[in-house]
Amino acid sequence: MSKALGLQPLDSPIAEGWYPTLAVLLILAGLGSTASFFVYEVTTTKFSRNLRRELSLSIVASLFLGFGLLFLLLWTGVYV
Amino acid sequence: MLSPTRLILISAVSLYIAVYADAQELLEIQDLDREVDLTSQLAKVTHSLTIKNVGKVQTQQYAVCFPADASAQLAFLEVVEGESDDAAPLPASPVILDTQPGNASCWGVHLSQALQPGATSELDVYAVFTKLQHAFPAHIQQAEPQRVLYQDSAYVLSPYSIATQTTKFKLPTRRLESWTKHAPSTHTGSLLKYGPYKQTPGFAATPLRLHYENNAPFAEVMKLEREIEVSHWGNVYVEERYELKHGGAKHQGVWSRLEYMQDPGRNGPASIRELVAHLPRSARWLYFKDDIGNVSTSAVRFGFDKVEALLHPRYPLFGGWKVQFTFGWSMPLRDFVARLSGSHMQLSLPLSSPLQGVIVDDLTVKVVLPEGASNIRPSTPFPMQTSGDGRKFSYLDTTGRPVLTLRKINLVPDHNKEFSVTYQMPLLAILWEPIYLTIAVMAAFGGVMAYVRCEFTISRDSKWLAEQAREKMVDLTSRLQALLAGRSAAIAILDDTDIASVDLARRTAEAALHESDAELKELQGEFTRLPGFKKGGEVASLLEAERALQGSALQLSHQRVSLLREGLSTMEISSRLERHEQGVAERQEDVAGQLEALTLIA
Repeated sequence: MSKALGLQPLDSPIAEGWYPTLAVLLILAGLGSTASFFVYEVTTTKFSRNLRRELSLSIVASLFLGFGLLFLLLWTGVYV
Repeated sequence: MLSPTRLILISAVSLYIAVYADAQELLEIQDLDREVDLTSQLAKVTHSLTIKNVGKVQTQQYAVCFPADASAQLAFLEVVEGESDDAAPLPASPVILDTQPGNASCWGVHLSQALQPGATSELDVYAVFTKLQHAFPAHIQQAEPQRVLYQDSAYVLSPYSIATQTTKFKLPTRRLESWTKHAPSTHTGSLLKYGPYKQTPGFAATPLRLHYENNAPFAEVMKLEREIEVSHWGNVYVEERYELKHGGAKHQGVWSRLEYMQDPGRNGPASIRELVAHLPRSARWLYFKDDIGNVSTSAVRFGFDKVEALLHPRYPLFGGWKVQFTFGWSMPLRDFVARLSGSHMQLSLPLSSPLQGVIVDDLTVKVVLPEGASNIRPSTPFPMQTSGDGRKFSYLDTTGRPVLTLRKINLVPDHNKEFSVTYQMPLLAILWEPIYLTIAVMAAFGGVMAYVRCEFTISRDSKWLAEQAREKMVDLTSRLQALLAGRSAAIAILDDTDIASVDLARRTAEAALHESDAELKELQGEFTRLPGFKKGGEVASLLEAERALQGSALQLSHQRVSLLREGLSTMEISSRLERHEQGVAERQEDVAGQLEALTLIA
């Protein structure tokens, strides 16, 4: 309808065809970095643990997982 | 006391009365064709007429009147001037004329231009009434056809005198039980014709009653709630909650599904077997459910210009029977939302029910815009009750999504036009949703980080203390390893540095060694402070051996440089320094062995 009026249609920021790919890739990357976070947690003792390293690992993992979950929701039809 | 608004209203009405009182004297209808379409549950009335100004002054007002009892059921009124179909409808509003009898209700129409004395103009009036065809008998059995009564006047109700008028009633079938005759009047097939009548005065009326068969399903949506939810990630959800009933002759006696299915043509002819919905072409992911769950008896056809859904309720609807269900679908965002400029968006889509041939008693449209949308302005094809202060909490919301609510009663299919809502929404605001997800995941990681820092030991016994000491030992040993590796690396650089810059490199290496000396000392202190640590001697001897190693390595590099400066060949240099190199290698082995021994203890 909007096209008929010569208006510029509003598109999603990322083409919808990319949602499945992005969901899979981002969640895989997120799970990988989550694994490295947990490996770090269990291989260090409370004397040798470095908060900065823990934070950087977990922030990377949560960014990947957060965006991955978003695209998973969108892929399954839950348009948030 | 009268409020100012009431005073304004009263003066406006009295002004209208004055204007229309004049207009009635001025205008005359030369020719009027009325067509009343009774083939559905509605009464669609069309007047095609020519008006003439027979007065001495110009006028711009025309009044259209209907019987007062019918007016209460008037759902839709449109007056168009001229012959062209795409002319804009003229504004119409209720008026009270001083000549009007009690059984008439009138609407004033403002013509697009004043009608000069002697001039004529053509008008088309289109009015749709609901619930004017009353079932008679009011109760029927399953196999009986539905008969209805319709009451009207053989003359068109009008404040003006009419030179010539004819009326045609289009009936759904040719089965007409009885009708009021008013010469000249004829009945042919499913058409009833009254007139032409000549020179009828203003507000002339002669009642007529038609009793005929109408098996059109009287599908009446008592309450419809539409919810339109926009997601800027690419989708528009529409969900409609229906309370629907069959508004025709009430069913009485038993009902047999067997008979109903054996003879679908004659058994229950007026029942609602299915509902047909016409959705936009790009509609997808349809669902049709009720309180029990999914209603599987439905079919969808994807066409070129629309998606047609055939909804079969769980049971057919006879007169008076009701059904409640939910019907929903999704549509791609780009077909329904446009970007006007910058962060201004416009949503436009059909306003009312996609079900064909239904009347809607009470329609509520809720437009749920993404969180962060502001400056929300609706634009509807006709006036609607509007409120915009609602909030809805849906997926990943914190402050809630703004909800715009539009409401109107008594709608017919003619109301199903497009409406639009403009709003403002920063383009980056949709990033809040992934950020919320990220924060949630981050909180889980934070929980893990907090958990590993907690100490759940109930009693700090000797075993626990020993474990603590071992962990500390492991930590110290790995730090020592790292420190020593760093020192070796600092020296090893000298071997690969060229002659020109070797002095600077050596100074840097020496400074690094000197700096780490302090750290080594501190580490040694920590080792000795470990509770129950008995290997202080081993640590001291390791550090001693390491210091000796670094000293001799530095010396070796020094000698190599001076020999190179003397101009000796590489072969000669390596033969001269062979013993020294061996010494360094032995020391290296010694240090590595001691370090390994210490690591094994840990």
